[in-house]
Amino acid sequence: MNHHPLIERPEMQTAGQRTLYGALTLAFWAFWIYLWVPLLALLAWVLGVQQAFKYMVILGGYHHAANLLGIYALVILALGGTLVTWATYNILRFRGVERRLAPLPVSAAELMRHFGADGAALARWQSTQRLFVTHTQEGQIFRVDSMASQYAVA
Amino acid sequence: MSDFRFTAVDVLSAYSYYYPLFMAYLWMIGAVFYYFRYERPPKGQRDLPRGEPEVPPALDEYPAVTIVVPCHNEGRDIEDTVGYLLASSYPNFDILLVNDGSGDETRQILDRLAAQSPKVRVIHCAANQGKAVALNTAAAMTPAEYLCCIDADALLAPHALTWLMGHFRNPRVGAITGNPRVRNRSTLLGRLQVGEYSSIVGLIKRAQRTYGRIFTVSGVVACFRKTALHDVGYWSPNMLTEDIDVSWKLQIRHWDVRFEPKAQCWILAPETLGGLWKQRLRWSTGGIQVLRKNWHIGGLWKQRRMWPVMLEYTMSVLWAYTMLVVAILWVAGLFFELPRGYRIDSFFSGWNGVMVGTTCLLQIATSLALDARYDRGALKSFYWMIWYPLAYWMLNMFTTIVAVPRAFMRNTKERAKWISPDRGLRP
Repeated sequence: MNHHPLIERPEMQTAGQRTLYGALTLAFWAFWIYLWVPLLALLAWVLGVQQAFKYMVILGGYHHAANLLGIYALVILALGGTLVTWATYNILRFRGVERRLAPLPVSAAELMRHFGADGAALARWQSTQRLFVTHTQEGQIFRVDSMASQYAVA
Repeated sequence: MSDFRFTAVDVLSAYSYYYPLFMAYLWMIGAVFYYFRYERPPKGQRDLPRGEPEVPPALDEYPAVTIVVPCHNEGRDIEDTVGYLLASSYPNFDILLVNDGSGDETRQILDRLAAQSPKVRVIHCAANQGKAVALNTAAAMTPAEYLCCIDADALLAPHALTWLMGHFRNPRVGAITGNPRVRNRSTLLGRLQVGEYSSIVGLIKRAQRTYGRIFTVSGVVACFRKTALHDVGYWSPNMLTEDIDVSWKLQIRHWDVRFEPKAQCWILAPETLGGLWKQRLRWSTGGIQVLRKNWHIGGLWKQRRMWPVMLEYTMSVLWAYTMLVVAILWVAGLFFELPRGYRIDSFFSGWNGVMVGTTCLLQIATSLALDARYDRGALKSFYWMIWYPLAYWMLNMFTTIVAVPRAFMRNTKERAKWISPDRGLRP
């Protein structure tokens, strides 16, 4: 296949889709920017804005930020450290070691038993190009018919 | 002392905020570890132009693989899908198309495809049986030990099958899933899912592989060893998400289930809110069905390696309900004077908000760094979705809340018959 699989055709959207998705984008971007308000306040403080100075310094805003970041860093380190230690331990412990035996491939006899077919039927099922299958109420194979191999089926 | 007293609402509020936040970091760390340990290309191939596929190393042998494609009313897509499959670079495969009681022109198209190529075989089911039964039927109809199952709208990259099959050199590997990439990017929802498959699905799968167990293979592209499938009784017809179910069954029987990010598969995602909701509700209900079915393994020491997978999913279900309670209290607090212990001032007050915003940025940046090699156009979509992790958790909350009662009220013997989902805007 030569054509690239991507489909990028925004012009195919209906007016309703454009409006809805535009509004959703705007709302989420606004919310995401709102999350940054304290940082904007810090930036404003750096630039000498009075209100921000009150928020960050007099009310101790940056102390809170520093404490919070410290706690977050510790938790993230503990979680990430546990995962990486566990992964490394397993890599080292099981490198070149396979405790479980390689199972034998499933045999034709086992397949026959599971799917309720004899050897000849299974061989026919597995070698016919076109099949028609009827199932039971429970989804088990009930009947399998070979179909003529040429194309032209009603 | 009074400073250290927490009310139940404080605990719920903290859980609703911290759980997704710290999970994001766990995924990022796990994914980066995975990249350096398993995914980073060898030296000669690191400088390939972006989007240029890395060539898989030659295998010692190329055992026969049957590519199974269940189809239910797939007349529109199946020819493209088969065209991509026939272009696969893997040297030893055939294709088994299962027409699962389609009512459109699928039957005629499949017959024509079979007439055009000796590699293509066709099974017509007399009636729609659901994906699990279609796959089980295909497993009986092929002598191949390896099955590669892909959805009828999924376009498999030329080297994907070789990347997947390389894992079967280890005899304990029962299944490997590939890396689905969203094709349709015309609407906001399409673009969001481009990012989601990278920044959420891709990160989670890599992190879970770092740990050693995965929650699920992607049903859209996964290879299986037939011996392993036989060992677990194949796919379960009564499970809404047969892919989650078979992943758990295999791992519970100690088969290794893996993820191969280099095995790309181009998929179609829903581009309407209704379509997305239906799809996610099915995934969520199916996940809870599997959790409910396997709850007993939480008490089995032999299954201890599945416990973290179980714990993670259980915690995300609990999180959805916690978030619901917190949101209700917050909205109620806007209109009524609530007692002191029940007041929620804000979800993201002060620096917590900055932390959430930064985490979204980091999560997107990490996934972009890991996935950009596979997807030329992804960067454009990422621009639209810096905030997507927030939307993901909201969608997750709503679907989980609805899914839990649905999963528990569902008759456990009821057959799951899927219909083809919304597949977005098409030219």
